[in-house]
Amino acid sequence: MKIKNIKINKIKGNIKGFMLASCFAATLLSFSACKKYLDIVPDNVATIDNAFTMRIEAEKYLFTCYSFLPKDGDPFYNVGMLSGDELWVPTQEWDFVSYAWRGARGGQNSADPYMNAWNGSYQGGGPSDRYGLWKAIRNCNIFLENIKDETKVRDLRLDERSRWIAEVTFLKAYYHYYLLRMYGPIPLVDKNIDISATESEVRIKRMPFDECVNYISTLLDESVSNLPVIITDRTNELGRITRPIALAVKAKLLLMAASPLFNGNSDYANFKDHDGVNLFPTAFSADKWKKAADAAKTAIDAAEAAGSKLYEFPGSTFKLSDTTNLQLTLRSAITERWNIEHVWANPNSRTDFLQRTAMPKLATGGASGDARMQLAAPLKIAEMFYSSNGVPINEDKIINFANKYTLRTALKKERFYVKEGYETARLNFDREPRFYADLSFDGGVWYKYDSPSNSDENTWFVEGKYTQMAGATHVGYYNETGYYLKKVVDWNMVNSTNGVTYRDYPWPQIRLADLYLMYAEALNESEGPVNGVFEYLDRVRKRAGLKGVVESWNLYSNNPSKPTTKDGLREIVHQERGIEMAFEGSRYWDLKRWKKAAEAFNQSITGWSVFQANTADYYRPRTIYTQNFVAPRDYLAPIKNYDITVNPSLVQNPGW
Amino acid sequence: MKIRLQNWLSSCLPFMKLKLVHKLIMCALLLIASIGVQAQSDVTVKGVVKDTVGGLPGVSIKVSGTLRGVSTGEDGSYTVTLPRSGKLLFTMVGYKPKTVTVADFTPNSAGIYIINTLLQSDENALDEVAVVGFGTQKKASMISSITTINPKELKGPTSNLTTMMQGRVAGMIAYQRTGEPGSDNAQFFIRGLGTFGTGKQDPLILIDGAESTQNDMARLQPDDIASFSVLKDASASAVYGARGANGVVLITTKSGEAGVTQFKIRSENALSANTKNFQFADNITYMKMANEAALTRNPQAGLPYLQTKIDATARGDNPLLYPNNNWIQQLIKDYTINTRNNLSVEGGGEKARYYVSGTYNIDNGLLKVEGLNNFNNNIKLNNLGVRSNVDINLTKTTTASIRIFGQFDDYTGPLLGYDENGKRQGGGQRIFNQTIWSNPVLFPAMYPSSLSPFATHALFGNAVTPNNGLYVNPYAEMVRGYSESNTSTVQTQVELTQSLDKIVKGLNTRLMSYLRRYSYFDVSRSYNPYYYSATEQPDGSTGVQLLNPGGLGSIGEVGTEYLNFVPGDRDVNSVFYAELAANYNRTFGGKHAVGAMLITTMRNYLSGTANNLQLSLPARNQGVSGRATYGYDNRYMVEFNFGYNGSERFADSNRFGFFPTIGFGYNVSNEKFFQPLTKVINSLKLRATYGLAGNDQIGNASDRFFYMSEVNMTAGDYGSTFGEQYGYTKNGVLVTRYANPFITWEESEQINLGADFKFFNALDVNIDVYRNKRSNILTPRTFIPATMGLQAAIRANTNKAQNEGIDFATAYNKTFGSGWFAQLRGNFTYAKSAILINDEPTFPSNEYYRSRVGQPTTQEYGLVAERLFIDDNEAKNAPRQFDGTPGLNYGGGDIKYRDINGDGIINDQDIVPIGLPTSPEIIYGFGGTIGYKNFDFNFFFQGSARSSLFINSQNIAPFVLNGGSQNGLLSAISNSYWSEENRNIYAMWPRLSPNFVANNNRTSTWWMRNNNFLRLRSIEAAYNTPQKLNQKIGFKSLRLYVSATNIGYISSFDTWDPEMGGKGLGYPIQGTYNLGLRATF
Repeated sequence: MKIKNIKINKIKGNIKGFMLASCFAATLLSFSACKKYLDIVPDNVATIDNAFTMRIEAEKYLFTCYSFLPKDGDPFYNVGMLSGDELWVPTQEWDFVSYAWRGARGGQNSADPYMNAWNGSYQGGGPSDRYGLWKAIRNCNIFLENIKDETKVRDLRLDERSRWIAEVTFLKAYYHYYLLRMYGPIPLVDKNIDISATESEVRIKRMPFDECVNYISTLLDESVSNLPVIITDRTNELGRITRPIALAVKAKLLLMAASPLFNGNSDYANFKDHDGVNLFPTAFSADKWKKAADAAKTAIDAAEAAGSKLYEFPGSTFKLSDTTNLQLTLRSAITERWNIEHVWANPNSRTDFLQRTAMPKLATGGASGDARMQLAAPLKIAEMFYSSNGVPINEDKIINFANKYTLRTALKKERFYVKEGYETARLNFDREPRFYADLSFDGGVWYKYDSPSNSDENTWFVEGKYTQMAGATHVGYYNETGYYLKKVVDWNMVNSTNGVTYRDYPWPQIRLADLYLMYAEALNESEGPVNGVFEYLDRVRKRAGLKGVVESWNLYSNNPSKPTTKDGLREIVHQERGIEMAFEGSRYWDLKRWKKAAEAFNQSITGWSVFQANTADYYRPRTIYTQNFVAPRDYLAPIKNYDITVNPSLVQNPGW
Repeated sequence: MKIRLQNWLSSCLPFMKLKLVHKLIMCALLLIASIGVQAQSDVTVKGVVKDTVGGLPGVSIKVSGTLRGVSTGEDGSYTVTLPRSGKLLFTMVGYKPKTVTVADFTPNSAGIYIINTLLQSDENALDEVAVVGFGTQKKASMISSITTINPKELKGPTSNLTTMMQGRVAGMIAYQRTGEPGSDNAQFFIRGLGTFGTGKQDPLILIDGAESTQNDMARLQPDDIASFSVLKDASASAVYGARGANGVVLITTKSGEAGVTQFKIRSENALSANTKNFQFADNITYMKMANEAALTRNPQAGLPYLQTKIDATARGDNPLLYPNNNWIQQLIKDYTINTRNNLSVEGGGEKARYYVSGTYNIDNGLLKVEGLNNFNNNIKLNNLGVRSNVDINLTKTTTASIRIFGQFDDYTGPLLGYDENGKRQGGGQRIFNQTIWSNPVLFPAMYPSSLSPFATHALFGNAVTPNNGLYVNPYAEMVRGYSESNTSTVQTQVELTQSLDKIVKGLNTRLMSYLRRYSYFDVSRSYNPYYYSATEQPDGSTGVQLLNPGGLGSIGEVGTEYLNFVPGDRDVNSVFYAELAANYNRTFGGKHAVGAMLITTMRNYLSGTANNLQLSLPARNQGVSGRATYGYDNRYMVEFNFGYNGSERFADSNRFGFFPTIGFGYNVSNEKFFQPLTKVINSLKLRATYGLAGNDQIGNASDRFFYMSEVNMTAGDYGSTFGEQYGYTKNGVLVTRYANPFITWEESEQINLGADFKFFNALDVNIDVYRNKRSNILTPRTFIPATMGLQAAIRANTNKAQNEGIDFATAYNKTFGSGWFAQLRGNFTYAKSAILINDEPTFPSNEYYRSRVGQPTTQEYGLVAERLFIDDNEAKNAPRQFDGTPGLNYGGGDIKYRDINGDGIINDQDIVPIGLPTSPEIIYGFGGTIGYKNFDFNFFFQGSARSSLFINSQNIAPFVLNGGSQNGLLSAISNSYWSEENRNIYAMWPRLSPNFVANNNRTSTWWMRNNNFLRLRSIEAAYNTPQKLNQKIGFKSLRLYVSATNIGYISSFDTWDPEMGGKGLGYPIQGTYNLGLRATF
């Protein structure tokens, strides 16, 4: 019995073992068939193709292309605002680290460039530096490749498809233009290079400047015909690209190309790439000014045809003096949302932060960050504005500004500009309306909607001396020069016990006044002091409450013949442009293209002695910083050295 | 005895009628039977089993031919009863078995046989096996480089096993950076850091074949460990294929031994204290230097502290108005008490055996808790572990092992934080940081409640910062709330082994599978403290003012009296794994030893807390591995291993990889010609292996599918808004990964040469030299210029690194006459890495130093600091440093850097490799046991060399206000700093400043320190109670011991414990002083 059992067990054991062994062998053999075990990815995982299946998804990609537009309504990201000499911020970089401003203090470098739009770093890539412009261009190309393929996004109507193509073509052109303005000759990326491209394929070269201009101009031309003249669906689409915008950008492009920096600039005669190709046009071409003038005129005509006009304040429910109404015209030309003067306003760059950094503290209460008053205009900018006669203060033969830093007390008739009875510098009296609309100062009146008197009498004014409300007492929220930036702050700004409210507005990228001055400039350069120049200059001056150029110079200037020569008129155009476009980030680029940056940016930045409480002490001009601009190096931004190392086909800009 | 014999004779009488032969047989049978049934006729045998070192605990002693058995106690003593004619079989892993016949001895006067015996520890024993990948192998024929550690060595007064490995495992680089309970795992790397990618760098850990985390390993009790092996070369780890390149740690837990039920208990109470606290300067110095800091940077600056305040503080005036805090003393206790308890039960019979153990450890933190709240905000980590290993013989040829364990950590402590990588980190770290990141003189921790009698909350001290915020009050931060976290791991494992001897001799198959569930969650509850500042009232009394009541003028976060709830992190995952293996081992003709193993594995991992679609998909591995060995006459051995496996992470075409290795071994000492030498060199084996291993855990966890693109179809940052009232917004599209089907695992090509010696039967020496070349290291392509406009990096398997070094281990065992014995051991690990190929641009020839090629993988890069500037004038005439303005951004007393490339500017292009790697290249340890009779004494030293430490100067920059944190003043700084009076250009600290000085905070040689140290890691003195006493108290053995860890160290760096490296402001490493007992009964 026992023996039997053992046998059975043995057999059982054998059977079990055999079965196990067979299973094992089977598993091993079937292993190759089991490869599916590792296929775990289900269908319908999102890939880039999903973006171009339906209109609703493709629209997201369209908006992606828009998202890279530089945030020019923010002092951190508008390169022009703080890179030059137009605005200064507290030396103590407390809660305000601006790399543009570090650049203004000579910090620009090629190891890790500031405001680096090429890579998107050091604030050059916008918020969180995520918007490097080559990325923008790649996205535009992806969009165009897909949307131009009519087998994709089948539910997209043909007219909308061509409009989208036009918009993104414009954006692609604009991003190239932005880089061109900053770096000079750039590589042109018309088609995306494949990700798996080899080293030699990805090493693209910078193209000669004229070629870049032609390329961008062609793209803009392509886009124009399919862009809408105006936005009809204002609720959903206001801010999208229109035909006047494309024409205005083309005008800006051609004006830049005609300007001395890029038009026959001998400094760059030897600037060649590694193949010996000249990257800059060596000879001056007068025809470029002609083209610029024509483009500006075309843009003006298109904008006016689309309803653009210089802005006028329509009046309010309050009873206000004409002075104040003119002030509100000038201020609201910038800050009134979507106003008729804004050829292009960007709703993706709004201005709450800009206003907050500009606004001086006028009332007690609230947190110190509510009105930071960090943006400050240097004295030379305050002096740039005309006298009340509409001529430069050093040319005015009627009003004497020789003692501009002495003190004077405000009279009653001046009460809409300066607080009655307040003692402030001579410089702050008898100035043109734009001076008071754009700037405020110790004693300066700051009319707002929440004026305690419900009128412009006994209204808000700035007290800027040390220990005063808007004085430089805070560690980082103070004004370094004593000139506060009023132009960008909407007059509906309200201070209450619940805090502060700024009425934000889409940043005006291009205003009609800008186009007028561009046209005047180009026309003077191509044809000299002809009527067209004066007509457009005077439109801007008239809106600012000033007489025409010829009349003003005749009546008030000690150099009455100045407007009669091309050179004299050029100076007038430049100054007019400096005043009208002040604090919008234009001056930095204008001085560069005029090749006047080396002169302007090698001066001292001065302001009042803001750390003084005593009036006499406060009004002593104080040197804050002495700028150093190295020409011709600093005219063009450096490409990061590392990029040159990575792509040896690139050449660095001269001097870097 | 005589009476018993008579009884027995009488019991035989009834059978006397039978035939004599039968009678005799029957009597003999009865004799045997009676032994099994009753013990009256037995003799008692006592004794001590020793090896050359001393008493051997855990030796299994079986009475031949019976199931009876015992094992020896802590001191090697045993007591067993058996027939006088019986034989005792002594067995123990790692020793030659020994049989002793009782009849060969004579009893003492009490009739007790004293049999002391010595077991031969013999690693060359032909039948001795070691645990290797997916099986076991005879040690004598082992060719791979495998370090096995006696689990005894891993016993120490800590509840974290990983902290016991530093310097004890030849070939392992290990260091511990923090001592906070729950976060105090040591980091360890086998043969150094072999890769410099972003993926997995630490070894694969397998506990009973189950892939485990470092935490699982940390919580494993050394009492439960049966074997601990570290697989170091490709030959050993190739069977793990694409997971083995970083080395493998193999741990098996104990199985039950058949025999009477045996209880083992270990109980320890330890006192734990910081090895080193940072030292602050006194607060008078603090205030004076704070004033100096302000003035030296800006002569017009307002003084932070008035002289009257300094004087009043010095006089010790009203401490509410003139606080004088030392936050370390106020927040941190001098010591804490921890307890550890482990109980195991084992036993069983022929059919089934069990080993069940339970562990309960309590680790407390060092934070002071006063009865302010009814919750405990000190750290308390309760660790409960249960393990049950049961082996069942299902049939004569089939065994089943069922192993179940549960591991539970319950943590309460101060509010948890996040580390710089966004991972959860213990709250203790945060509190320690805050003791230095808090102003010591502006406010007391708390005001007495009498100052605001109607307040129903604690009156925490605070003050208003210059930027209108609140300071950090570290005391309030500590007591304002608490976090709880629970970690649970449960695993069940089944293993079936079927011997197929009957079909093919020497063949068996094995199926193992486990299922493992892990969960973690934490919750935090806290209130916002109400902060007060003190003012002196006109009548001279002290009043307090509430700073954050809410409403107008309220500063900072508004206080609450009630707790807020913050839901914390959760992590849930599940692993299923199965392997099926066949093993074949047979020796033909006595000389030809043939072995083979073939295995298939599959693994599925699923996370329940993934936060995107791609990560939510299961992670899988699948593979076949094998091994073939052939040995001739125990002299020549050859071994072939392979792994062929794949991972779901890679594209179809690159999914599977083949990792073969080959190895040769030569037992020189078994050669005839060697015989004359064997008196001196008892054994000598030479080994050589070569092969490949892989690492598929590359890149970040979020980069699972390299072959797929990843697109965020609703990227808010890339959307736009249009419309008059900004009313139409659409999110954008962002590519976060471009598809790349070519990416595959890292591959490590490894060569290992080894030699094992034994001299004079006492001294063992093992030496391995190796070189590993890791290729296919994943890196971003650098040749992609910015003009490509890519929004995610393109990566490829381009880089290559090399690791080479020496592992050296030696052990010396000797027993002297007169009861003395000694065991000494030492090991030395040297691992040096170098990058061979790095995807980097071609640097210009004057900047050759920027290339990482040839540098170690953990090389730090920084500026060369020459000294401090003497004055501003010197700074103005020196090369410009970064884009600073001399005299403004930096100047006299700030660090002067060397212009390496000579371009007249100091910038990132002047950054060079500085110092030694941050991960040590040399780890060594030595120690031993010296014993005399019942006493033994252990000690162990451990050292680390060839690494650099970098001080993060921002973390200790005194007086700098950073948010609400204002740094305290370390005495190391107040003792040596540049001042206008004392322009010490080599002072430890540059010119003081109330703000961060970017110029000085850069990584540079200024902040580099030598990180070499030698520390007395542990000592232990133990007393094993004598056998007589044990019997009286009913124990089989009892060991009482006192031990201590991290007692002291020698290092040139003394600001904090050097082992913490650059993380010196965290929770310090703990020194423990421990009292424990181990008992078997």
